[in-house]
Amino acid sequence: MKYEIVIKGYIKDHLFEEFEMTQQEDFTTKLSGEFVDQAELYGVLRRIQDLGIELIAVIPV
Amino acid sequence: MTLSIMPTKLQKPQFPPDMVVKPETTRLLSTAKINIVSAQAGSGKSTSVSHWLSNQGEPYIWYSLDEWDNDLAQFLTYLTEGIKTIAPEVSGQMDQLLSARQTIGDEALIKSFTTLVHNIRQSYILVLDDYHVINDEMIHQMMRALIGHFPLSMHLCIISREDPPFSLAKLHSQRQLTALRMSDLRFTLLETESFFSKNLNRSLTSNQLKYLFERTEGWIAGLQLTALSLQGVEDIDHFIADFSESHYYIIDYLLEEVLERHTETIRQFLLKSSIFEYFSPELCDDVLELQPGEGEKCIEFLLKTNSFLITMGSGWFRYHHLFRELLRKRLNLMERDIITTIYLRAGKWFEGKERHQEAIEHYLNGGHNELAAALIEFKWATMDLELRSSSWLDMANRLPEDLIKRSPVLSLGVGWALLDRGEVESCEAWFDIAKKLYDQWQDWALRGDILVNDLEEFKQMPVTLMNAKAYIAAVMGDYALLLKITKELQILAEQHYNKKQWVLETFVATVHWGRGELDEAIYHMMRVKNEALGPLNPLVQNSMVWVIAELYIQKGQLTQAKILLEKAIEEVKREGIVPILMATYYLYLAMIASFRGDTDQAFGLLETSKSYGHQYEFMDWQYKYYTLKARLHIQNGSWDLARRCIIKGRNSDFKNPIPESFTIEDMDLWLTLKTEEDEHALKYRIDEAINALEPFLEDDPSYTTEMKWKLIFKFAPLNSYAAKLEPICRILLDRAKIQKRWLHVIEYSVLMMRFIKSEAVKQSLLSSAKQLALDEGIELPFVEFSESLPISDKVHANLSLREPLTTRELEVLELIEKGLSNQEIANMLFIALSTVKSYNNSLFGKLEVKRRTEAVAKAKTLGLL
Repeated sequence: MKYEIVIKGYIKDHLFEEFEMTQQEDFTTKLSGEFVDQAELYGVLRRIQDLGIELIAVIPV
Repeated sequence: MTLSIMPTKLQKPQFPPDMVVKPETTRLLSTAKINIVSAQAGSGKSTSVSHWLSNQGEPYIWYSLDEWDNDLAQFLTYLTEGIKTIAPEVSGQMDQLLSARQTIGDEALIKSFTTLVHNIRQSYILVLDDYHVINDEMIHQMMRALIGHFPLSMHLCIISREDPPFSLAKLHSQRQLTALRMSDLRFTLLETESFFSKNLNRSLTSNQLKYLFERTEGWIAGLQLTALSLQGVEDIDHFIADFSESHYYIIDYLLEEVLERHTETIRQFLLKSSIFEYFSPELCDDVLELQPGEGEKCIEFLLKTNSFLITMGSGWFRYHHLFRELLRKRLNLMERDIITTIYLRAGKWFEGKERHQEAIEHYLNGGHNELAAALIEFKWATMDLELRSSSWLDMANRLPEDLIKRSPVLSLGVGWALLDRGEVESCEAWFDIAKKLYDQWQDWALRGDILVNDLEEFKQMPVTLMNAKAYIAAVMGDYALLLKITKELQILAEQHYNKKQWVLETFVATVHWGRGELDEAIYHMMRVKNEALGPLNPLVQNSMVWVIAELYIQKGQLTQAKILLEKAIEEVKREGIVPILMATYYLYLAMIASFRGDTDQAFGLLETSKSYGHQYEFMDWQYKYYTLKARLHIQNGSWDLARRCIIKGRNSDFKNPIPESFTIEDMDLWLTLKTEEDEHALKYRIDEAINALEPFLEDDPSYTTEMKWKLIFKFAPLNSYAAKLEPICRILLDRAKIQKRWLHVIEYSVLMMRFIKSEAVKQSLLSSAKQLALDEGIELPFVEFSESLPISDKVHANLSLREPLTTRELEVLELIEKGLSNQEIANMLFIALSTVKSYNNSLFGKLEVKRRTEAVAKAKTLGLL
């Protein structure tokens, strides 16, 4: 399953190396990637939370 | 207590004294008994709570949680350690409870632990920091139990990055809970100003201040990092201009600024030390290969500059989680070789200090899997003894599977852990792998890449594997197989000087028990109890009391069982032992009373049992409770109540390797046969019951099916079944005689009477049974198993009462009708005059009358007489 995760602000590449990262015009970052299952998705969301980054959207594509 | 404790985890972190804290948060925290502080990383949660604790008078426990705490035993061990400072006695009792964990089961452990928490009189505050790392459902359940019955003396404060999975709405509406969220923790403009004036030795203009406030949104981590970046900045406006052009995540941007400003030494130190959860100067010098004393200098510098370093006490420190997370990410940009070397050195350092959990963590992070595997292998034996096999499995599962499959001990451990979880099928595959590797190892040429580290455990493997087989056989009730294994085990254990001889001895006892050889079973269980085979955990020893009592009862030695139980109860009361086993002890006393025909006393003792069982519950207590209660209700003719007990008993079914003399399924069969009025249907049921037993009837019926046979003997219509059943009943009677099971001899004698035509033989059977029953006062078999009649109108009438009369009360009523005086009734029934009077009162109550004559009249109109 493929998801796009949108977070606030731009971030450096090394924070989420495994994803394709797009800096968007509205100063958000889109992380796109393939997930094995829901557990992996939640793992990434937890990492975003651990860094104190604001989560804006999670979209299945 | 066997688990080791890291004291740093129970110390309140010390934040820099000039930290700005919002006064409002302190007020909010003291307004309710339960606080949830739930907000994102770096929002000042721990700082606020820590500040509040320092400014109030109550004692507190601070518990910093991390991933390793996802283990009920470890969690409760830390709580117990914390409580030691508040209520040492209760903490001691908790210790007892934890060391008995293997015999209690997790659900019952939670219940009993919660009860003990309620025994703390001193009021105190419990802080659970970083609760979001907890994902173990049993721990959540423990917290739900605690919150559901909230102790008066406790003030609970949960700090978490996300809301914990409890339903808090009710507490909220009752104003028992305050939640501190981001909106409460965020700094206002005014607070931001006071923060900067404390943390910067220069002043900011109001525009600069306003910008920084808006950019950080009052988020404390952002403000702190800003202050750090501003140190040594000449032109603040320039800094702000750069800052506002960047749209990078604020922490990411600022961290770069900070790192750039530091010297190379400090920069390296920050990045490399980020691999540690907790660190000391000595650890840093050694692992990071610094000059002696340099680690301390770096730490002092970072403390002085407020660089997200938190003092944990005893010379240990940790970084703020958020800061550490970012540093670690940056560390990963370094050369892989450098990183793996640091992890290796860290693993070695912790291993040298026997802090294995941390060593394993570092080895795994650095990809040193074989080193981690070796340590995990060594941990198996101890963790299995502590019954933490499921936590061990979580740890082992972090290793690559092909690595586990190269280690016989690890494969064995995985098998055992799965067996502990009741996954009998999947565990056997792992045992096979372990066995294969073990055999291969014996041949030098075949050793190849097999990994053996824990030689001691490896040598014991044949015994351990056989133990596993024995356990599976016992649970499955396959006593023939168990006997075979036990014999092999005895030889093996001697060859290998195995230390767990007592486990083997209980298997031997179980084999005898499963074959009805109760004297032998008692002999072996006694040897275990008296520690003839080595010292025992006190709770294991105490639980041998009920096991032996059960054996005595099955034998019909009721007095001996009663003395044993009463002595144990007395000891619990005298020594102030945690009363985990009381519910079970009283249950067996109730069973003794019921075999003596004293149903009322049995019900009374069951009530006492229940009052203990509500607080402390032992393994299969609930199952046993409902099974016995169902039997009592069946005797009384209270079918509905019996049925309800059977349903509840089924819900609390518990797989136990010990043979039961009567099961919940037996009670169900009993009720079905007893209430079946249609003769064809009855025959069908009897056929069904016999068919279910016959496949096992190659030799003699097995001991554990005896109760079912008794029921078949009692209810089968004679004309169709007598010829078939009589020989079986005779075999069972003779076997009971040979095995000296007097209770069963009495039962079979009474049952045998059905199949006998000659009145003289019948009478002689009965009188020899009565003779046997005399010494121990056994009465129940004569009530339960004597010739049964179809349900009479009388029974129907009795059942239609709101509260039916007991058998004894009906007896008394019949004697009253015959015109006997109370004294005469007492003489006739061999009971005290006062007992007769109490029967009278109770049956008057049930019939709603006041006098003997009224009772007889009412009973006649109801059809009871």
